[in-house]
Amino acid sequence: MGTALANAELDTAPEPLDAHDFDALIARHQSMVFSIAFHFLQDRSAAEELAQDVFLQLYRHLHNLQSADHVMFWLRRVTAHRCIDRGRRRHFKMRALDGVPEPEAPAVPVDPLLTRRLRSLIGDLPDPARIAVVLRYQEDLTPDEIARVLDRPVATVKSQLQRALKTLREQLVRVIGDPRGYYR
Amino acid sequence: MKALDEELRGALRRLQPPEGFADRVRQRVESEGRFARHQPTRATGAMRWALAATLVVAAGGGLWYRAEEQRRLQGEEAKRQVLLSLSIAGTKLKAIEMKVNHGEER
Repeated sequence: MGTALANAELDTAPEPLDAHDFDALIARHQSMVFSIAFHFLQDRSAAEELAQDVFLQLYRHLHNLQSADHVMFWLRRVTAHRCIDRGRRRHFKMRALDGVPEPEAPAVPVDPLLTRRLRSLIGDLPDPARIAVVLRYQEDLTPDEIARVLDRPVATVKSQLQRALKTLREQLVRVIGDPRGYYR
Repeated sequence: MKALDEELRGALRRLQPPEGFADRVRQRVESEGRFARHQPTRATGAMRWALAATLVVAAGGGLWYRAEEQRRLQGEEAKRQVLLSLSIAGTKLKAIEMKVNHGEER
């Protein structure tokens, strides 16, 4: 691990990152970058390609980054903007999600069919709302933080999230039903 | 509402990238480094521009020199023709003068 990353962890004076920090940065952030790309694009190979592009760009900009928080913010921002650009260029068809590796068992039991259905419904959201939902629920960012990452007004982000949730709730109830009012 | 939030968190939890992802990123970084070494730097780019400018100036100078040389040769040819004409005219005048003088002597 490079000195800069070690200093960032120890909270000492920041200094630019260098190539020695790169391996540690990949190991630490590959899951985040790949997951944002995958949840947005819903295409495994496209997500890997995009994630590789993001890390390549990170390598070129290492000297401009000075702390772990800065790297995290930069990666989220670049990944999100690349996703939106990619979405503008082509329409991604939904692919079977069976080939996607499942991570370690989550703390809360998850219904795999419901998860698949939800991912599919998220994939149908408009691009700006989809990336906001991914950042909100994958990265647990607040609307303020999402607004900073996406360069959008906070009010816009809040409205996009509200509309997206309303759509998802309606679609989910329509598809799987909700006799006990669980999702209302 | 909370139920949907939880379901979304579950559906959008982080996933591990395909195996070998980090190695593939490193390979791309290395191949880009090799490619970058063969790319023209700013200095070599400037040298190329300087070479191109020198060639343009040399070619322009050559064309100008050739045009000047052609004009000089044309001028010399015109001068030679004028001198020849004057020489012919002088010879003819001399012949006429001799005829006139010869007539007067008779």
